[in-house]
Amino acid sequence: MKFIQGLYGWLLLLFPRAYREEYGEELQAVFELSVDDALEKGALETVGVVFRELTGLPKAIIHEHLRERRKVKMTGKSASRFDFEPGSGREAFAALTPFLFSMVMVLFGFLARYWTAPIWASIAFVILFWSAAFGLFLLGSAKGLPRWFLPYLGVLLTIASFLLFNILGNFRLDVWWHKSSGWGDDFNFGNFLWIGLILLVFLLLAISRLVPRFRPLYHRLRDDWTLLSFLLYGTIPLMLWLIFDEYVNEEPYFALSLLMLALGGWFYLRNSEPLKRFVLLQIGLALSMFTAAAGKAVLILWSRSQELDFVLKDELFFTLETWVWLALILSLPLALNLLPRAKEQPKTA
Amino acid sequence: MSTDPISYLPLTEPTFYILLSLAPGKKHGYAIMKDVRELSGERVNLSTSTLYTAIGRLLDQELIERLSDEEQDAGPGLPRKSYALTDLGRRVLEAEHVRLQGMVREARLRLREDGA
Repeated sequence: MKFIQGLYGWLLLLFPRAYREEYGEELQAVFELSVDDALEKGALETVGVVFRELTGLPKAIIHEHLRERRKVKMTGKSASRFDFEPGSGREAFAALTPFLFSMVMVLFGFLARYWTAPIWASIAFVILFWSAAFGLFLLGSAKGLPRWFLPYLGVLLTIASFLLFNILGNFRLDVWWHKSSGWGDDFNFGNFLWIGLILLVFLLLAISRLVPRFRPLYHRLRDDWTLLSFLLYGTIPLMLWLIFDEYVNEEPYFALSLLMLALGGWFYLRNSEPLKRFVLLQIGLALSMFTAAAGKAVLILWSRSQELDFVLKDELFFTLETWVWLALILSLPLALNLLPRAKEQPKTA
Repeated sequence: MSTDPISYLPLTEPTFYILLSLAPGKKHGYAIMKDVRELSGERVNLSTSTLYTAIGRLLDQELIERLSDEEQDAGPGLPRKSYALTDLGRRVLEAEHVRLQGMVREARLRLREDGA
């Protein structure tokens, strides 16, 4: 009977999505209760019930699709093809583009080393690549920063953090730090990159809180704190560039690390429980960093060329350090959510 | 949606039995299904999908409403949603009752005349 119940569950997928989300669980539960009751009455009754249920489905499915169309016509509300429904494949593709495009770009660079593509193909690829990425960026901005757009903001935050870090470097603050902090080399100046990122997160929260235009974003982040974690998840691809900086033949491991991130993001978008979603992002990050560390180890230990002048221990420590920072940064929204909130003032007349 | 009960008449047999099933109080989908079969003397045997198509239409017409149950109210395996008649739904059912009574009365009179 498990098979029949499973089959019924699969057939329910043929109903319109909105209908399925609203009634799918009930339909499945009522079907199972009908079959359970029929089983008590005998095999013939069970066959009859299953037959009636399965033959009743096509008409109901067609009916519901037509009703859905009528509803759209009556309300005049047709979801634009660019309003990616939460949890849909389109939303996932749009959200994971920073990860998947980085992966394609890395692999394209790898292939270009062994295969010379015609110049027109290279130009077409670059134009297509950047116009798609830029188009999605404009679309997300125009659509009021939807969930799928948040990793793009993460990319922007990382770029801003790099700029801030470089500006600090230009002022030779690193030299000043090592001389005056008393920590010497114990606290790497590179860690200011992460501190800068954290400060930028607070700046983003402050802007979204204070600027009326961005206030809806602030409320969304307060309502679902994992959204901020997802935004920060978008910082990781650029951090991976940093991890693999100056490596040779690192592209397959780099691409695999990005794929792990994309998988973590995909599962996040498909899940509805905040804590599970947070854990899924952390798992995506952990797998990505593990892949990067393993890739580095392979490259350092088995690389025939002498181009890599890295010490394995240092490189693994650097990857581990990056992982810890990123894991902490992803956890920042969780910590913020645990802080007591100011109680809403009751409205007085 | 029209608020005149007469505009919904006549009701189809499954619709009539679904509304009648809800007349005493709210019910889950499966309870409605069983009740309809019982009320109709096992003539109207709805499949789950047919029942929910009818429920969807009745919800759109605002003849019934969907209620969320407290978790402890729903029995094991039962969906946590139940359905209840709205005021309009009850008035439609009463109007159909009156219509059917009129039909039965007329039929009785004519049949009696024929038999006399």
